[in-house]
Amino acid sequence: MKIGIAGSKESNDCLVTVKESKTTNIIIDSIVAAFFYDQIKAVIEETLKELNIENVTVVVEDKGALDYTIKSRLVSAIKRMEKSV
Amino acid sequence: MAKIQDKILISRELKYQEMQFLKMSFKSVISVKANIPGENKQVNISYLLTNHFKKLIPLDMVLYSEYYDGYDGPYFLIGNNLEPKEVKMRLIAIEDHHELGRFIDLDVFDGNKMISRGKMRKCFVCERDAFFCIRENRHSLEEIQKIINDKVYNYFSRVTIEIVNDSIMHELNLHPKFGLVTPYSSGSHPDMNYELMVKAKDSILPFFKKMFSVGWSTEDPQTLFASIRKIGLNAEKEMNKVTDGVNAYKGLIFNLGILVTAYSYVLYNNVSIENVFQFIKKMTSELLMDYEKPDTSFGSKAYHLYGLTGARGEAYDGFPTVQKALDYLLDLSNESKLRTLVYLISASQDTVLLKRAGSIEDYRSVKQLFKNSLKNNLVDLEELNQLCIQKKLSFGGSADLLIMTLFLKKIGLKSNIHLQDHKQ
Repeated sequence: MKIGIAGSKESNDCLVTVKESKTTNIIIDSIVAAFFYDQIKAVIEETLKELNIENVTVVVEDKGALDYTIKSRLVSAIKRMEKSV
Repeated sequence: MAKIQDKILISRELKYQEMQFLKMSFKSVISVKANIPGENKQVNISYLLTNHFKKLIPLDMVLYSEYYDGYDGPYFLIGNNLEPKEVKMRLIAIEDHHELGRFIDLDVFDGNKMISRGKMRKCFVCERDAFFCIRENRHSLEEIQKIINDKVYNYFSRVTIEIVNDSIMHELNLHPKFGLVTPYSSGSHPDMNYELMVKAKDSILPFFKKMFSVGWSTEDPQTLFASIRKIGLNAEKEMNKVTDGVNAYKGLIFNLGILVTAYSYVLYNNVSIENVFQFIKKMTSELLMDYEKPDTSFGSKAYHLYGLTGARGEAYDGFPTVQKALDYLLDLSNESKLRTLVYLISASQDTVLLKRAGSIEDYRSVKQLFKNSLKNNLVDLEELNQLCIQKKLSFGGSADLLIMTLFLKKIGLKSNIHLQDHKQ
């Protein structure tokens, strides 16, 4: 199965794991989920749309990352997934 | 070219991979890293904080330690085989109790995650949880940076002046002291006493603080000396006011002023303190030019007649006698301090002593007495003390150098020579 991981579990960062699946799922575990879950989810959805990616499971373990970081980590994880065998 | 934000992210990911790698060998992996917002993480304050807090990590936690530097700023990774949760608890105590703890991240990685402190940390600026302020971009970068810079400066400035005060008091409280003022004796100085010295000390402390500030904020080291010279003259004026013109610490203002300024500069600019003497040489490179000017002072006469460069020469050479004196100051016991003072008297050039001794021959023979005493393990201390008071000798210059040696010891400078021959 194709899988890609990017990021870290440091403060102000997030660890993003992307793998192929039958449908698109977004799982978010964030220390600020109670307040920013929707915002984080929107960033992920927008990025997937931009890159034309469907049918992946995205797991975000967020330690307070900003949108720019989340997007950047997701893009790297997808690139790594596509290169994986 | 990747954007700086991306470079930071790459650097941070590499760090995370390095931690996972280290986790294969250690139960806990600690990361020591400054918490500095903004795109430039490689600023002076980051290095200062990282180095400062690395030294505060208890030694039982440091089985392995490695230093790294990159776009995400400098950091240490430290490995040990203690329980990660216990390690984190102890590190939280450091973060929470240190005045600058908010600006450092002491993270513990247990192989799967960074151990959480349970509660979110507060924002630098307001009382909210930090992550909310960051996400909502509530404070400007300038505002946050100013708060960090001010707090870091205030901390190091205050601690340094406390060390200055401590060092002066350690010297002043030493007894007996060959004619120097102590709590029990005015020695060879009928115009001085203990209370006067304390008053004089208090009057000059704020000027050392000003000099610290100059060292911290000056970029061009060539201009440092001229700036602090003015501050030094004002310190003298203030001292003369409270002592009615008695010169209690004029030499100290000069010597210790140079040292405090140089220390501040190397501290802020992330130069190791072992290089402070090299830096002082650079800073004072034009000092001996003073002797080229027409000058009728005794110091100038001593230079032209006997080649004695006195306090100026000691500074110009980067305080070599003080550096050697560190070898004698094994601890802060009375015995160590006395031995250090005896060494300083025997080895330093002191134009005030020359003046009081009357002739260069007498000056040299006094120095020889102290040299002998050092060799004989200070057996004749009381005798020497009586002689100095009787002859009204004064070793103010050496007392200043002792204060500087104490200062260096307290800021953590170690002697690099083992003294075999004096331990017999």
